[in-house]
Amino acid sequence: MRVDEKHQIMTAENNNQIEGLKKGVPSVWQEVLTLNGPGLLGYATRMVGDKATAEDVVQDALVNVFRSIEKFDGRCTIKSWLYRAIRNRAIDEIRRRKRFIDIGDDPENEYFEDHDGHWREDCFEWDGHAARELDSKRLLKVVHDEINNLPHAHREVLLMKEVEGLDVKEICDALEISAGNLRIRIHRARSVLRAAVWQSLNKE
Amino acid sequence: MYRRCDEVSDKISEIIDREAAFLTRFRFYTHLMVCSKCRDYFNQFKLLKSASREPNPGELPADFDKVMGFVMDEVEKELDKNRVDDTLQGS
Ligand SMILES: [Zn+2]
Repeated sequence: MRVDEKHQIMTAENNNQIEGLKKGVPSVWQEVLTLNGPGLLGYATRMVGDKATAEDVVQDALVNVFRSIEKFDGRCTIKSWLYRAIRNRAIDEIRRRKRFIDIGDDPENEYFEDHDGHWREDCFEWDGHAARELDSKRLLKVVHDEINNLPHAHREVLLMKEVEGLDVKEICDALEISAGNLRIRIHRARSVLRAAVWQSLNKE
Repeated sequence: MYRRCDEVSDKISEIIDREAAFLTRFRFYTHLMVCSKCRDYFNQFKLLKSASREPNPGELPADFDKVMGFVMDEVEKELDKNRVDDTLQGS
């Protein structure tokens, strides 16, 4: 509820801005793009996997947003609208280049005993190896590499939520999903990421 | 408190995102007090969350100025067209 209120206020504050966008006032466009552009480009880069393609994706998507801005109905923030546009264009690109990976199984399915829901004895290593790496730069690199290797459906929620720091409402609007659905997707994405990171750390 | 570790693991994201209700938090943390595996698992999620929020050390950002320049050129071009239309309509 607090989130909704915040958004109502933000939407009211953004009315002038939206008017400016729809009228095509260059300074308003410049302002909106300067504010959101770097985040959108970072998101796109990590969605498609390389800078040059990401630049094309963002260019295309933003020009497209500019040309169809009259379709913006104000039911979400302009930020969500922009992310949605970049995301859809990035997914076209991912499909075209076959970087599209099925989301696979939920790793947590294998961790617990069915009858009492407790951890299975053999579920994973608890030798503390990972804990010794906690503060290292290498951990950071492994985490980011593994985010980049995730199936896109997991990658996109983590990029929006953790890396770009969008709030729940903004992500739900960008992905056109409910808050409950987002919560499940985030948890699943984190579980898959955790398994991948720990596997990668324990390999070495 | 939660009796099953799989129930606890289901709630981890709600907890670290601070979206869980009081009762959920209570049942969650009381379980952690008696279960070291869930505690470890929870700490791994917290660690991942904070690592995800740090910038990637090995990654240079893409060239935003280039993209911005291109998009603003398109904006200006389109507006020039509209300006001509306005003049024709005598406004
Ligand atoms: Zn437990």
